Amino acid sequence: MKAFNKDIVRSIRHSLGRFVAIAAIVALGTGFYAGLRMTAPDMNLAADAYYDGTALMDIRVVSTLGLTDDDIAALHEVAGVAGVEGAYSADVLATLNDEQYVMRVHSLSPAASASTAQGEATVASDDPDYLNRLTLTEGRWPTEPSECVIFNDRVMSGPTALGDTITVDVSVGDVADTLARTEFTVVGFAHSPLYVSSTSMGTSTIGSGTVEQFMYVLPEDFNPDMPFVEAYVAVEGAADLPADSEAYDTRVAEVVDAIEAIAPEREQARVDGLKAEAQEELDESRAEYEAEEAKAQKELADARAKLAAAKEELDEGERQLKSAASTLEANEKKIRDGEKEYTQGTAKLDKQRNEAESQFKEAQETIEANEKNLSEAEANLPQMRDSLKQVEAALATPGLPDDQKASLKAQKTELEKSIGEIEQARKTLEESKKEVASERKKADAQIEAAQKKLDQAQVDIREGKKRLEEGKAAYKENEQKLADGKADYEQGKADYDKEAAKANEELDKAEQELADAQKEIDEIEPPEWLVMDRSKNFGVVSFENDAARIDAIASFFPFIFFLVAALVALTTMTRMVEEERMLIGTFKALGYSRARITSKYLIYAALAAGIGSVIGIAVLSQVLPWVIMEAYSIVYYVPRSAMPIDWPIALAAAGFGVGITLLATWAAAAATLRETPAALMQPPAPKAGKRILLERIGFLWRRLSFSWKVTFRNIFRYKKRLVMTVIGIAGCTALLLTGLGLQNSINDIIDVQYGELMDYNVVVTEKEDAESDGREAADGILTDAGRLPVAVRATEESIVAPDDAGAFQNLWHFRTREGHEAVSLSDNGAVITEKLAVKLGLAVGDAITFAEQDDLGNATAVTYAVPVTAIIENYIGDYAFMTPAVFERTFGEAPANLTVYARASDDAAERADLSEALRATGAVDTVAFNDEVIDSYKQMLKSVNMVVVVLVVAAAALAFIVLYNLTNINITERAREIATLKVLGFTPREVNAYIFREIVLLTILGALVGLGLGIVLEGFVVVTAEVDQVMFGRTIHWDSFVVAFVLTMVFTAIVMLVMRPKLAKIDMVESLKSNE
Amino acid sequence: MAFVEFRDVSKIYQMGEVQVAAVRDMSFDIEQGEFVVIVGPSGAGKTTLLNMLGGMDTATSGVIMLDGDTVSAYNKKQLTRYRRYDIGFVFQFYNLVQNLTACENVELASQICRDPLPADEVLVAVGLSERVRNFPGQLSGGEQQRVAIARALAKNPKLLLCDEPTGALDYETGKAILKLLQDTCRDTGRTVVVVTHNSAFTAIANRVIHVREGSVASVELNEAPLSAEVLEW
Repeated sequence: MKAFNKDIVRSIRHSLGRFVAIAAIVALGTGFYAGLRMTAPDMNLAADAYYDGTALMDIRVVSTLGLTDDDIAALHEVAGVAGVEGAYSADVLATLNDEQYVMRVHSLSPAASASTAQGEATVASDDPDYLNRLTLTEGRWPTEPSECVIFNDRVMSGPTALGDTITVDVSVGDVADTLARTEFTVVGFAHSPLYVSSTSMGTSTIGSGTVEQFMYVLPEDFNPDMPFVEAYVAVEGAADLPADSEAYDTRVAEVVDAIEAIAPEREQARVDGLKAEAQEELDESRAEYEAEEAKAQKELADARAKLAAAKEELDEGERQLKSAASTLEANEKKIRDGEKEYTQGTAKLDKQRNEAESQFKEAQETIEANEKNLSEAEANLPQMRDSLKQVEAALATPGLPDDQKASLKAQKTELEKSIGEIEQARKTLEESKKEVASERKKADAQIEAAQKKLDQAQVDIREGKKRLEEGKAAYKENEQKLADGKADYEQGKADYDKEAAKANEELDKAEQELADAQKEIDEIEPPEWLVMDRSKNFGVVSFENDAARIDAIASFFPFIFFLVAALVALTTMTRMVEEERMLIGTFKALGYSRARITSKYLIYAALAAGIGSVIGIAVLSQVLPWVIMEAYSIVYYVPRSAMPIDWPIALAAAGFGVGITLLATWAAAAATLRETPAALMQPPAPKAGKRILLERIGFLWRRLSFSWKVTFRNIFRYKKRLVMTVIGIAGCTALLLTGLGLQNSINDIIDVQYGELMDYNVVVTEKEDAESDGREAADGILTDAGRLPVAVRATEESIVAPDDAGAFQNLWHFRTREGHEAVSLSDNGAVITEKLAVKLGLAVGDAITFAEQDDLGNATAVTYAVPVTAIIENYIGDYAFMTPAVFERTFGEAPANLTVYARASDDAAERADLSEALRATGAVDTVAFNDEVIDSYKQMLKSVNMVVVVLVVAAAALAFIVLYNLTNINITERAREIATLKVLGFTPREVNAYIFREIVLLTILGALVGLGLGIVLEGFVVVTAEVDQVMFGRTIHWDSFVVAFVLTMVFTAIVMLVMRPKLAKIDMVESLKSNE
Repeated sequence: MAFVEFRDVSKIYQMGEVQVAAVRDMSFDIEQGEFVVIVGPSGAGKTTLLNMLGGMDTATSGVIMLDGDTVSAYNKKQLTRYRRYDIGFVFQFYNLVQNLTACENVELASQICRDPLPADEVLVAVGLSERVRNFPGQLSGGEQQRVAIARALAKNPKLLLCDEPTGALDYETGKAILKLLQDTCRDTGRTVVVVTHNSAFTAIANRVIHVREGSVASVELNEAPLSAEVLEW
């Protein structure tokens, strides 16, 4: 080794501290630059490895009318297509462990269960059509219907376990048309490359509007009538290209174009197929309709005939009734006549009977008189008989004289005559008696017969009357019946008319429907194929955007380190050149050229910077991407892959680091090298003391002790060191403040948004088609004063038009961010949120324009404008607020207001009750508490914490290097001075103060500058790191300033503690030596 | 008892396995108010002697006493106090703080001791009344050395130690400085010890201590020292 080179090696060995200082700052600068710059490529590389390993689709084809097997086959045929997977999917609202999630249900390819995972990022499968391959983290694949695998990540998972049941809410969306089953058992947990971000999984039309969970089920679990919802396409050769490269984009765009080229044909085929199918169905319907119509017409005719018959019957009945009425009348007359006759008969009979009676009485009386006479005569009869007997006896006495015999004979004849007469009278009487009796009997019989006849007549009359009554009743009944029949008939007729009208109407309607259906079929628009590349996948895009954000920060941050590195190199090398002044003179005197001598310092610096670069890049290009990706892994699932050193970046970083060091070195050496060897042999003219501005303020200056005076003069004497220290320390403080401020900013999202701006903590969305009583019940629960102090309905989505603006502002406080001036809603226009205003470039007084969305969410040409009356502080989401009046004026319709904002209890059990009660009403779609949102931001905060740690470490490193270097230079340069002070009897404490006071003052100055710089840096980082729809807090809290400042001071104190022994070691004997 | 006593003082450095004695069994006395010149060739142990006397280094063995105090028994803290209150030191290369004016350099010392002399008076006494507010960089070598002497004197020390005070100065200036030191001794009765390799200076001393190879070769008392003005070398 040449002597000169030996000198270089020894220089390094003898001033290792200096060498290390340069190496360290260059390591920090280049390492930070390279590490941060490589992070984005590393992230993209990891993403690419994961996407390729899991065969993430390059293109997703969605048709507005679904895709058929033919479509899938046609896609296969497209040039450049390597694989196509037709898949089903549906968004559902599902309950898992009492929590509701918006879940996207996907069909799991049958190839999944045969696939094998190779590490975290690669899944091998024999089926080239199996795309978006899942990696199973736990459990097994679904093998039976009703089994599913779901996403299980750190943010969402909660207490999910294998075997849990997921229940799909059938009332939301069109579950019936899409899913064959609604209960699923979790049999595994998986990651899907379609969802690398757990916080942005995509948007949905149901529930909260964002997909919160995914679920893969067997295709059988989907409705068998459903066409494929989407087709995933793998592009040939795309996997070989980096996913973030233009080559990839170009390759995919070619295939997108090719697919779009076949799209019209497929769209036509689809519409033709659908039309044919629909036409067939319609024709069937029409035939059915016609049959139905004929049937209906026949039924109507039947009804009509029946009615006519009924009418006939009724008329007949009426006629009969009429004749019955006349018969009844005749009968009545007959009865009346009979009665008259009967009465007359009775009277005649009575007269006859009386006549007969009086005749009989007369005859009786005659008989009785005859009887009496007879009886008197008969009373003499025995005497006469006796007299006769005596006569006869006397006659019989023989001999009686004939005169006596003749007198006796005459007496006997007399007697016999009298007796004969009496007996004759008796006979006659008995005969007349008999005659009378028979006469009576005859009369009686006659009377009796008449009576009988009369009685019969009476019975007949009674019977006739009864019959008449019966006839009358029957008549009445019939009359009623007829009336009823008539009424029935009328009713029937009316009914018929109505039925007929209805039937006709229905038929007309059916006819119309058929016509409409026909028209619809005729008018079926060809479906639209949407051919989307990965840029439409939320996870892929947000991961890419986050990588780009890191890159944006990376291009700004390391600037500080490079600047400080340059300054450190400059001061250090200046000092080195100064120290070696005589050596340089000697070299010069020995005849070494200026370039050769300069080369020593350049080689020295280049070695230091080179070693620093290598170490810095080697370490930080691994550590920084690792830390940042680790931080991101909280929200992204992208397995880390190898983090290769990106040579262009590494070389650029190293080149820049070494370059500025060399430049600084050259600047430091040039002036000295220009001097003559003779001058160089002399000690340098000591840098003269100079008066500083402060001395002009005499009263102040005089009060200062000499050490303060020295301090102040020193600070301004070595301007390079002042700049280096101030910038270095400012950088340190700024980094600290940036980290802490970033934490503040994200904390503010939660603390300010949910602590100060929003007083509601629950958002309830009601079903659009809810029953009104269910809705009332829900409203009742929501306005229950004890539970919810305030509840206000409003439209959800981005436009909020609360029913009661005043009450709403009790739940959502409107104020400006700067000045916290209260803002209220007015009928003059809309109030919009700050981030929205910034994004749209709107100021108060401008008009904000809303565009109508089509079914696919694209803006249409239909727009509405409304003036902006105020811009309010808001951190999460973009909103426009307006009164219902303004809403109506703007959109021409009243707001639907299905969303209720309310304040619920903080108690978990009460909340669960509330959810339960609300869901029980059946009118409620979702009940969302803010906690879930807060949780996801807390996760975000965790990832920021890691970044803060990196920043604090970087800040500390920066402070240590700068302060160590400064102190080191100060101490070596002032060794004589310090030794002198020691000889003069300064105590160690006084000596420390003499040196360190300067450092402390510079640090304070640097820290103050750093606080200012930090505000700028933090502002830049916050704006760059901000994601869509979220505004980070814009204020750094005062305690962050304090912490950043104090921490900087602590770093300084540590450096001073480390350097104290070095100061103590300075030998007093130094003071006796000559200036070198 | 003498004002300064050196009794069998040795300073031995351990250099690896070898012991090197910079000073061996050195003994001498100095009386109060004397102008002492310690003279010897390079490497004779002058500087070591001076370091030990000035409290900048400790003796390996032996006793050093100043004004009845045993300096050789002092610990580090006591040594600092000793340097602070009892010793005034004048360096060959002045060792002024570049960033302080002449006056401030004097104050640098006077502000830390108990009974200082007013800085401006001392500066006037060393003949620098005009340059009080100048920085060292604006002063000539002689003027700087005067400031250094003023700084040493302002502390009102018991002993003024000067290490080759003229070493970096030209002849005339050196002479003026010697005169200043001699006058200081003579006028204020302060004990002044000058360490030099220049044996010409012995003529102006009250006491001359010859040092050779780490030991005192001889001590001679000079009853009638010359004035520095007439000294020539």
